[in-house]
Amino acid sequence: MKKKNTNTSRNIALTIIAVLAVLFLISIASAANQLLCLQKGEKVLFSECNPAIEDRTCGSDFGCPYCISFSSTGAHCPASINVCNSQGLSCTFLNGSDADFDIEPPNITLISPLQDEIYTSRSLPFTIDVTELSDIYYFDNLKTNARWTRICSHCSSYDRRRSFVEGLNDITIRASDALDNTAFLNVSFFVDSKKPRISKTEPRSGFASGDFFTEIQEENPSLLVLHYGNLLNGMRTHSLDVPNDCTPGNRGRSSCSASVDLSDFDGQVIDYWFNLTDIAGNTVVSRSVDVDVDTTFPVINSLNFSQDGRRVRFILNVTELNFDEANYIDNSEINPREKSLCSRLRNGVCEKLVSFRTGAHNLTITVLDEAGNAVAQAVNFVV
Amino acid sequence: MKKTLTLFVLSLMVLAVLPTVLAVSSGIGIGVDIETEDFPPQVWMCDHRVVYDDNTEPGRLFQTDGINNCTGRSYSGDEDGESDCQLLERTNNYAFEGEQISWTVLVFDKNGVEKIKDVYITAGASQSGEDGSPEDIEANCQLIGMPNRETRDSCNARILEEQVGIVDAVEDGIAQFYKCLLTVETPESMYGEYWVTVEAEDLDGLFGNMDENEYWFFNPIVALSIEGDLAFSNVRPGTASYSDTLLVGNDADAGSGVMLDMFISGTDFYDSSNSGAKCPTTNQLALKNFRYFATNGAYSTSGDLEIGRAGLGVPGPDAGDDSTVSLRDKDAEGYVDIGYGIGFNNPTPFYDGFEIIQAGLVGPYYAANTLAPGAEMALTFKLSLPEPCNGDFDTGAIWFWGEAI
Repeated sequence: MKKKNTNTSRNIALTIIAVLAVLFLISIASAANQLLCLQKGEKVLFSECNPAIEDRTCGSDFGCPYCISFSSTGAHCPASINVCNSQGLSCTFLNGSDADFDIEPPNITLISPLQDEIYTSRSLPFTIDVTELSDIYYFDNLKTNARWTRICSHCSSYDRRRSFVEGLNDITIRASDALDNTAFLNVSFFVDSKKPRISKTEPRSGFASGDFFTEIQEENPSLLVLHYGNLLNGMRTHSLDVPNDCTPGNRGRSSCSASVDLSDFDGQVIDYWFNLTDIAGNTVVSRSVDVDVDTTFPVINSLNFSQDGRRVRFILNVTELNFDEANYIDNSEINPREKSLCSRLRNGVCEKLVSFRTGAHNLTITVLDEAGNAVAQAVNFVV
Repeated sequence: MKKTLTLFVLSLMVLAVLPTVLAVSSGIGIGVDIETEDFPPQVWMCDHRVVYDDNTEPGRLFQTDGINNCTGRSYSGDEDGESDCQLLERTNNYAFEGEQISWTVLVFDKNGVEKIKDVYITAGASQSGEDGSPEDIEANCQLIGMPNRETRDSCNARILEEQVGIVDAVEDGIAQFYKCLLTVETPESMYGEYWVTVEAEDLDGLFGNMDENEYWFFNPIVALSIEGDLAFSNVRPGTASYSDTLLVGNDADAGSGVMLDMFISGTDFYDSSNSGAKCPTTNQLALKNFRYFATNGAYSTSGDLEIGRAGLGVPGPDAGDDSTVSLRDKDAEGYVDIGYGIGFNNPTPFYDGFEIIQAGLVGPYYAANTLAPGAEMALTFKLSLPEPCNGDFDTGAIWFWGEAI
């Protein structure tokens, strides 16, 4: 009888131990996985499980369920959602001490385009990294009626080519995480995809006195250089001061002029050309042109005139090897205009008979050579 | 005489042998230097990779290999550590902790199988041998016997243009088969995208690896995203009102390829305040008053197949006698009712009854009901408020569930 009681007690004890063991195992099993339901703003730090895993922040008003397991250090690790489904797990919430609310905006790293960089193509890689999953937008600060353009949603990076406008670009990038913690980043850069052009140079041929002219097509010129000279006296350069030496014209064209001293080259033939560089480093060189240099001014040896009624005969004796023309302007006219006297010399003489209205006349007679050198004299008479 | 004759014969025999011995001593020896090629082992994948379940939730499409049954709760794998539940549904290359990926490979070494030192699975950030550095060895392969002809023929074993005669090679001792089984480890040690392949090493330190590198995402984070607002304010009893449209999405890791099979369930709703609620007969708003319209790509609940939930009637005093014969039901507008459930398969199995959209049936799955990472379904809810009805019903829930396929 006593033995039977002993066996009964032993059975009861074994049963209790077995039940406790089962309960212990159940508690371990239930603790192995959890359906962690984050509330809006809460963050689960998966990176503590494995640094390669991004933390997740809940941005939904309805909460965000994650099936998790625990690492050996107690960190939250992602688990297959099927495991939680199969275990019929209900929501477990983060304790206050475990809850990590995200109040930090994402950190934006702009890899391309870079601040103050000058690009030669309108199509640029637009490469952005953010430190947490975000919606990424950009805003063109220089565009009228601009709007925020979303380039990716719920992403941690963006890397695609986008087209930007020619010239200055000023862009604001916005990254908003799931909780609308928002970060902004401004970047301005320059796009100069059009190559510079030199559409005209003067003198085209013939003679040069030291005055040069060019017409350029470039919205962002940085350097305009005149190269001139010959093998005899050497080549020289003259840098133009683009803002002062150039005058903007139509359709993006600018007229630029330069004056250099060619006295060393007087009577010689020189080559000249212009070299234009824009701010992006694109360069264009104009065609090389040969010109004769003439820096000697014409000399009016004598200027005589005689009146016959309203007609006046002018006789100019001129010394000039490269004579171009002699003309006059009657400054007494209401609208003074340049009128030709001679376009050639006969034995160094220009003779011309001109009719004038009655009254006093105040003439300026000018003699020019092919290089543009000019000399003038005033003549007054009354008809 | 006889003795003399014998001596004579013996003398002749000695003389007859003597020239031969002299001839041997006058030959020239030629040394031969033969060097055998150190043939690097070749590895070929046979058939295709097989994924085994982690013995938790095999999904809808599986195949039982061994003695244990995938469908019951009794399956825990054999003592060999190998799961017997093949995940035929796992068409994309992602796997979770505990799941297993198996390859059958043929390893060939012209120097003889005795020279094969090791055959193993590697996983790393780059393809094996791509950057010259060996990847981490994750699991060793197991030597197996000759598989069936179908598997043998699938190995596509070639050396340059020459097809390898597998049976002869195995019988000649220059090839043998291995089964390589990789079990996905915990996210602590395995997370993200990996190149996985099988490599063989011989005793000369030469390596060969399977050409068919595979790219896997291990332990992807799986989550649902819900965007929008579900609120019915100032609803007039006896009328139907419609919610804003919600977006329910697959928020799994980008690039993981995790496909989610989507489900919906709910509970009745109650008024948590002491407002004297009644709707229409007691202080409870029954779940049957809610319906939803869902779209996913070209599919919507207007084409819902209305399969399942037989006998899962809506309980409650207003359900009447029909409570035991209710089926998944789509109304004239294409809005579908919601089944009761407070957990996955709790209290009723979800398959064929609780899918959000039952359309586009492909095998056991509804194409309309699966979401790829980043994809979303749009759901609009309709509340047909009974009459009479009074109260603010703020307690209760509609649940969205996702199951990784």
